Amino acid sequence: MTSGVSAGAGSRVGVAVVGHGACASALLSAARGILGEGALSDLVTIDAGLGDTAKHELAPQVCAAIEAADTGAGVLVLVDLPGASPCQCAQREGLGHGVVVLAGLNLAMLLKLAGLDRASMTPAELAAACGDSGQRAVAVCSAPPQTDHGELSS
Amino acid sequence: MSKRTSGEHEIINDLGLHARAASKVVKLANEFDAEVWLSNGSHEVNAQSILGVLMLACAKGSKVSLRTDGKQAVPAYAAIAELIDDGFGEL
Repeated sequence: MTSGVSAGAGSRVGVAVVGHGACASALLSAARGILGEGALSDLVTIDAGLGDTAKHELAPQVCAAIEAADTGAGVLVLVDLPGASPCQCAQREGLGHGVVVLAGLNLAMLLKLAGLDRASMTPAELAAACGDSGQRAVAVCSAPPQTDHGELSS
Repeated sequence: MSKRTSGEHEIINDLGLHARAASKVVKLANEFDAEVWLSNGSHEVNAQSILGVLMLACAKGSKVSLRTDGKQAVPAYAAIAELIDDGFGEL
């Protein structure tokens, strides 16, 4: 089954989140804690490596997640580490599904994603927007927050 | 007709402008046909982005400048100012 990014009206880009340990489901849960429980309700998560998930067990799970997330407009797969098993697996299983894989999963990415219109954007556009927010959220924040109109050094 | 409104408001809840509070601001800001900007000192951000609002790093006692621009600038200002003055419902 293949699907392009120029799918019919009504469909939107599906999103799967794959990470080591419980970080995929935990980050999604954290995002819902901030945005409200109904947010990002259609995201599919896979907690890879829990119970020693071997590569051959992860692949069919990722494949199933991509199938489930794909409603015809392509799929964005968020993974935690570039080059690691979840990432490689998503790249491999995503062939032919219009899949874009974005690594470096963090909470800011999910918050950004929740505010984007996935019916009018391609997986690549979503990845670029989420990647930008995810990167901007990586910052050294040693100084206490200013309370007296001081400047933020970013 | 485009309108503009701006003013200063103090963050009065204990947790400051934290993630859930920022989420409330963004949700509200997106309900209006207006651009909404928040600043803490010279750092101004689009209040339609959670990350942007969080980047302001506003603790309790911070004074933020709220600025709205657009067709619904006035009601947008009123709603967001009320949310801030109400301590984001956390008082």
